[in-house]
Amino acid sequence: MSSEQSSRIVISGVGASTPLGHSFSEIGDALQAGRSGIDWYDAGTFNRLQKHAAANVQEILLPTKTESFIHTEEFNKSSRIEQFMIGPAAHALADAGINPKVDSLKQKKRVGIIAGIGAEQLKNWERDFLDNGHDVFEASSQPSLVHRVAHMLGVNGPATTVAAACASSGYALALGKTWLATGLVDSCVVGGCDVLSPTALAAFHNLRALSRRDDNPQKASRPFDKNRDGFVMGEGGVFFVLERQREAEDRQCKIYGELAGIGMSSDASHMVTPCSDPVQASRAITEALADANLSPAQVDYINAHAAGTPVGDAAEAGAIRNAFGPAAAEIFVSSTKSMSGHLISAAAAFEALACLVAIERNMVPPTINLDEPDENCCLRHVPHQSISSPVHVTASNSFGFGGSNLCLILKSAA
Amino acid sequence: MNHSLSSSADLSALCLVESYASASAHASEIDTLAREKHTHGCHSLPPRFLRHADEQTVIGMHSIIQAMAADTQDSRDIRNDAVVAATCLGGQPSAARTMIGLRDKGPVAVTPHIVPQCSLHSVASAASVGFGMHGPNFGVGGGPHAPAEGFLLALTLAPMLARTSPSSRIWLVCTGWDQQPCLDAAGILTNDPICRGMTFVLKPEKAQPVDNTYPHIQISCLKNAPSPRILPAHGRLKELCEQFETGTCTTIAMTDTCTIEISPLSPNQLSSRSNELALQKEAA
Repeated sequence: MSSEQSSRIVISGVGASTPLGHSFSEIGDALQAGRSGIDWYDAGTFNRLQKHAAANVQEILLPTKTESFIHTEEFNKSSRIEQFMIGPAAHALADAGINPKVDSLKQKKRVGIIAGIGAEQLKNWERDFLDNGHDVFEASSQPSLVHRVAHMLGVNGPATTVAAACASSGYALALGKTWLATGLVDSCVVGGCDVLSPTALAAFHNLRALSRRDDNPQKASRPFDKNRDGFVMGEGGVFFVLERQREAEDRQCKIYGELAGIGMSSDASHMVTPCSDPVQASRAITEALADANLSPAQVDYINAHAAGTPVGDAAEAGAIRNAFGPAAAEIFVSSTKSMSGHLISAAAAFEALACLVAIERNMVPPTINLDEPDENCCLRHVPHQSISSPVHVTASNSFGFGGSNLCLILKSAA
Repeated sequence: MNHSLSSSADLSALCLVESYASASAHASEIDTLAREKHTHGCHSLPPRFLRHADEQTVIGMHSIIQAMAADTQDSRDIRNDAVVAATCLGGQPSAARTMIGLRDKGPVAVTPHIVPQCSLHSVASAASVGFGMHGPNFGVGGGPHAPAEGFLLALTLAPMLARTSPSSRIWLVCTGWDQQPCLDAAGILTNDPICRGMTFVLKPEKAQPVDNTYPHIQISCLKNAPSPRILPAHGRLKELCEQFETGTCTTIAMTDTCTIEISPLSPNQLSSRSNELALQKEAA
């Protein structure tokens, strides 16, 4: 193996708890079948509408093979946001065959953790307030969730939370890659989680960012469609283990793919509205391709951020055409948010997982509900049904409030 | 002494501190501060830009303007610069008022500004949007470890930025309250704590600076490295601010094998800073 190959950063463990399933294969089956995870959601007395369409996780289960990290009773006592982090992060480590509690002592392995969570405190205060608590009135300086989970998992390296709104978990992957590349850690747990909450639903609704198509929830999320009218909120947690290829191969564990390139930029335009000028978003894509040492024509599939908002989807289509040039006409593009809803802080990690599924199955997941593609979003869409096609290289876009742009290049590790 | 250095550790994760400023204000003063013109040279925030901003965003923007004024590279183009903002328990007063509104008047009363203005990324995004910085912008921390995490991630970003945009710098903005605000059941503040912000303008460097006395921060993977002053990773922003400004070399212990070394301001910067403070006092 060449030194370039051995220093590649690969994904060797996956853990997820999402509206489309709780394992890599279950989520893969849903994406391949074009199944929607969106349904009615009842926010109780705080419903902004009579009924909300949302991608809710009905039951968060402690994944198998994680008993060395946490007991079921302790997991069941944790809050939803904690469960969305503990379960997938513990499962990703178990999947990679890493137990930091043991490995850090025996092999002096340094394991780090980076969690993409946009508004952890807000969610904690809200939960406490709705339970008649007073934390929001007299906040105490408790360690963040990532530090509590790091302790629970035995993570002995650095632990941190990052936030770039809807691109948060993508930034976690990007920064984790850099931790490995600079030798700060030997493996890194990266990903993100988010929960549905009355305040978030109401705030996004009042911002007119959510779809109002609440009569048929499965039809509400319509990225790139002419009749799209906003996104559908979702919740969940998705975490990965990143490490250098040679270390993953030494342990003979499954390698899901390589995190080959990252690109980041900011619109610096508006705190909420995406910039209609595609220059900065396409710069993130171009930088990611350059980081991966790939040309646009080498990309087989683009997992678009496209959430179903009128402005955002058109702006992204422009950025893709701008960055990929003539190759854009040949590359399959889809938005898996049509099925999963928008997992907010966890969205970028979920979509990285969708890219890994596409690579493993040589399958392009569809954009369901794409009945009438908007002429302003002219791309090589995959409407309604997945298609079989060789997928070696994928690009995953993520954009967030505050103008954060991110592109990850994930490719087959073979 | 066992100095175990990772064989693959890339010590290019080093940044020179090209400018620095701190700002602080009592909670009761922040509304007035938000209405002030935030301008330095050709850089200025759009009018009314901070009208919905959280207290920590206001103080963070104020410390950025101060750092611009203290910048030795004043004329440098900031369009491709990056922003990393480390905040501790940001958005608390707004969150309390929003939740009271939700409970008393229902979801119609929830302000849409809570999402962009009271999340962990808010300070970074406000700096990027307000001052037109197109490099990466993201928030870090959220809890008591925020300043330490901010330094770590600014240093994480440094090699990446050095590769893609070699002349760009990183604006690391750390904000927090000396004491958290207390609010009554109506959401009115019952104390008047100090909100504090520190801005470091960091230039990623590949090699050790020739003049090691030039202020810099760097990651060290040395185990048990001797250090004059070690702060825990959850050290308070006030303490960090005091140590940096009094010329004390500081080490933040992130883990057993990872520390962040922060060299103090140089004598020149210290003296210009004391002049600056004296002028500010006079003006007040």
